[in-house]
Amino acid sequence: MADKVGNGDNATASVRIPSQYVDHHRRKIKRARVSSEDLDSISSLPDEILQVILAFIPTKLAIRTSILSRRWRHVWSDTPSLSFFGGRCRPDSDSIDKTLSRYKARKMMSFELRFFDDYYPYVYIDVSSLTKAELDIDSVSPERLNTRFLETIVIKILEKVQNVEKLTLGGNFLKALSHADLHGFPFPKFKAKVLTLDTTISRCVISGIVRVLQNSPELKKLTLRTMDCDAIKEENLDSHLDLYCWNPYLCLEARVFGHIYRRSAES
Amino acid sequence: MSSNKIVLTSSDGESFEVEEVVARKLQIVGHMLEDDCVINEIPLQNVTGDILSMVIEYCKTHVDEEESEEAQTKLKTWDEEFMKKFDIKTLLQIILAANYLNVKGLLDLVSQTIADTIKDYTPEQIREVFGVENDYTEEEEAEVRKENAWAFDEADTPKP
Repeated sequence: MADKVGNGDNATASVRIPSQYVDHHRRKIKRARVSSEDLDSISSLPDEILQVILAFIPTKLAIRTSILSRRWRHVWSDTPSLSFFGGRCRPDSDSIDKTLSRYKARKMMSFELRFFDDYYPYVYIDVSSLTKAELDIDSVSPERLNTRFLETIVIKILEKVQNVEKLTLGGNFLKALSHADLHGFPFPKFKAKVLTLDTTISRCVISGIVRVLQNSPELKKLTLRTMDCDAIKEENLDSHLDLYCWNPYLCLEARVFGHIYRRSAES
Repeated sequence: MSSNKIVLTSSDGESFEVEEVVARKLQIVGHMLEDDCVINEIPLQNVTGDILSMVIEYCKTHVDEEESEEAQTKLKTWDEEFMKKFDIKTLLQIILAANYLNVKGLLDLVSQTIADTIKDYTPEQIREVFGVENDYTEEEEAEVRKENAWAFDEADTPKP
């Protein structure tokens, strides 16, 4: 979460649709408002501000605020963002089901999920309004990457995030994509404008990355976040990518991405 | 156009003369200017002078948001220092003002700051720090815990 501090780019709330916000805003002004003079508790803030706050923390911790007081019981359930990434203790599938059944926000704007091969929560979620998604698979053992898993889960999830503008894919997810590519599964076209890859570059992920890039004609910004301690340094990135014949400016296969104007590596 | 000055007046009658580009960072002002471009004095009823001055300080700093990484890092450092200046009560007033005046960057910044505090605290600590009175009965509280049991797992409860 720390890397999200002050970075408007990552802020979930930034996806709020302005016209809606203005309507909402005008409605609020008409109503008697909390005046700042008698604001002595966070509980006096209107729901919509509390939900902007809760959108910045993992869903698990947001749910914990329901215990604070009656005022807080249902506040979390209308937060425009769900994240099951945070916390050491991950929810089991039943818990995610229960949480989603209480979840009321009409338009979910952001969804982060590390999913498991035996559980596919995407079926419960209407993701048509998603503008930001972050996906990874918890662990990938070779025997799990069978065609059934790839076809029924990985490709289906990809189809769900087709319209997402800010897409983040983890290393294990990219490995699964590479396998899916090897098996010749068709990839959907993505509308992603901002793509972040949380992975080290290795031959296990390259074909998945190339396929995602080929299918993202609207891509404006690509960020590579390498996670290992022997991460590639920024200055070495170009040569590293050249090594894999994957330089957006030179590589024949990726020439369509000539308008990618920025790429950066964060170790 | 950018040298045009606008006077913003707070609920307690304090006036601030700012450049139009700064005033437009307050989207509520931006909308008013679009509706009627000849206003040069704007009363803001829901925000006091001391809070408005902080909002203006933020807007002045963020008036030209450059794309360059260096400028971004500088702004980020400024943001962090800016947030350190305030106690919780002031932060709550700023977030309310940022929402009313519709300054998205500031709303996100204060939200993130408050969220970081909530994230690290136990429910008891949150109540204490943010002035929340627990009005649940014991039975009710137990029921709420049960409702979302997985979220209350001990394993990663913040240390008191």
